[in-house]
Amino acid sequence: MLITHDLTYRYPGAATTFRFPDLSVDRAGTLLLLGPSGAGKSTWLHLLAGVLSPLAGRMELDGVDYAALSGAKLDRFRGRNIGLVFQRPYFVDALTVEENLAIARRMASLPPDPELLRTTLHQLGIDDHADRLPGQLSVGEQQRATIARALVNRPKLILADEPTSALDRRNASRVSALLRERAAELGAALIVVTHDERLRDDFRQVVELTSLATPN
Amino acid sequence: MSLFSLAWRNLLYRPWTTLLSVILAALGAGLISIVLLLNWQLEQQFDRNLAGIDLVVGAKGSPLQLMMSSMYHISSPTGNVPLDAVKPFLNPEHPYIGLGVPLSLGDSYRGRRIVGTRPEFLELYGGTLARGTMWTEVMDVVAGATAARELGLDLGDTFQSSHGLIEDDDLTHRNAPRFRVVGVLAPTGTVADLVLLTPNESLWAVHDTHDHDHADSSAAPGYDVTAPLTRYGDESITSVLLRFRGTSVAGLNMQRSINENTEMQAVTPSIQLSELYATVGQGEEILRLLGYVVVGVSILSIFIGLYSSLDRRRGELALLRSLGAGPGKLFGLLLLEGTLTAVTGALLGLALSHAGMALIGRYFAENYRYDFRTLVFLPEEAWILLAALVVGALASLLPARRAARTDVHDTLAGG
Repeated sequence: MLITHDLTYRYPGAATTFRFPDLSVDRAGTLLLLGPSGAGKSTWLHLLAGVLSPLAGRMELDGVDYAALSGAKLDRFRGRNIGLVFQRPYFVDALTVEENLAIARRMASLPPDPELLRTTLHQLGIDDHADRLPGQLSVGEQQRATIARALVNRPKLILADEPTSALDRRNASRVSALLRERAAELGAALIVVTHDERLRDDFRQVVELTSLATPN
Repeated sequence: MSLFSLAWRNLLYRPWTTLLSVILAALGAGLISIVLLLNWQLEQQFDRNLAGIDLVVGAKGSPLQLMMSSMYHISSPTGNVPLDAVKPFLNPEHPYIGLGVPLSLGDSYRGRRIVGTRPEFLELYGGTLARGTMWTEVMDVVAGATAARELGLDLGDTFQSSHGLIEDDDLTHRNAPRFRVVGVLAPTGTVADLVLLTPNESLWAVHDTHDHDHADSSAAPGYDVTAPLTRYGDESITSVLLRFRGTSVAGLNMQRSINENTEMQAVTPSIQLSELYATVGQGEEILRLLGYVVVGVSILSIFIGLYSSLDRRRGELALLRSLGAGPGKLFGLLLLEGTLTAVTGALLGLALSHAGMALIGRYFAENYRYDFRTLVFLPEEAWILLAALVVGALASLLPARRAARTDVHDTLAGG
């Protein structure tokens, strides 16, 4: 499903190059990238998300090498195939929770599907908040809303960046379970990047990072 | 959820900033538009009533006042002139003068001016009778269309005039003979609609009794209103409106000769009008400049509103990028927000300027009996909207560029 090969990245003007281990995640497979802050986890995640473009290497999702895509093609590929859950819950503040989900479909040029929006919100237990502004939700509800948004385009790959670091133990395991359940249901590969050791046992594959940066 | 409605929602999400920008844009557009509308209305009113009049001859005084009172029936006349002095201008055989229309002014009925004249008056303004007949006797009245409608006058109605031009019961000529409506004019779209026409002799008749109220009011001295005015001797009128035969240098010489050699003055309306426009134009210019300044401030307000919102919306914009929106879409979003603000403001401004015109129109209608058409939309107003579009785009250009350059990685990883 997701295969990466010889991925490298270098920040403009930087003296070091990141070299990332090869990954292979099956349909509905789960992978935990575990490591301390500053190891290059976010960089890796953003490469996998198509937010950054690699210096070299291949990334294939369902047979498409999106490391080679750029510009509008990459934007569209990302919007349609990759669901992102960020460390902090970002929303379009002026729109309701449900409209935030709708805009995700719109930005990926997918047709509107109000039914799907409602079921997704329902599955995450926040359908009562559909018509509220994101700013009016609690942190936990906001987190679930961002997960709902990551799911709403039925992506093939779900990437989450420290989704549990701000949560207590009970909520952390709930979010972890939610992510895994929904990914499995969609048949999407799930990759979580974190320094949160609590998640270690929830994932089939765990990759531990020390430092990925090597001198040029 | 289109880009358009997203822009709209973003604007409504920060209502006070948006309101300020909209109000400023409305003020700017409103000022510029009301100057346009006023200018158009004035020129319409004045130019339509020029009626090809080349020269106004009347008593010495302010030339503007002579023109205003004799042609536009605003302000009071400059005084009277002896009929003997203007007789040459009323001669149909005059080599240079195509049309000479004598006017006797100064009386009114319920705020509508009574104009003593000869049937040639109708020739000037293209007036035709809608009902009734032309006058045949002293005190017969042919009413202008608007005047008849608003005073509720119909054929056979009679009334007494009052001295002066304001509505005042104390000034009514109580002992004077009554005027009688014998005809009503069809609308002409000119000042002829606004006045009550009667033979010059009617005003003399009113003032004969008025000046010597011991006299028998029924004994009007043998006036013949169908004969030329030149047959009378010892009377006076207010002014004469002249139309020349063709355009001749002789006309200009006539004006100079009247001004230099007689106790009267001659005024060229087109010259007076351009002087008037020049005076009014200065006020307009100031209003227009003020409008431009406000537009400048509104550009600044839209710019600052958008630019400062970017700091707060950095994460939001990065999010939209991550969801598949290209830089062009973010650019378009901000551009839309700016132009929507400006165009909404401009629409509001146009609405306000028309409401303002309606008020001004009512004032003019009450005080000068002039009818302003307030629901006229000028092609220039479409230009104002187009300009608002450009202004909005201009104001949002820099913020839009910054939004388009949002770095997704830096923003989302940096937290």
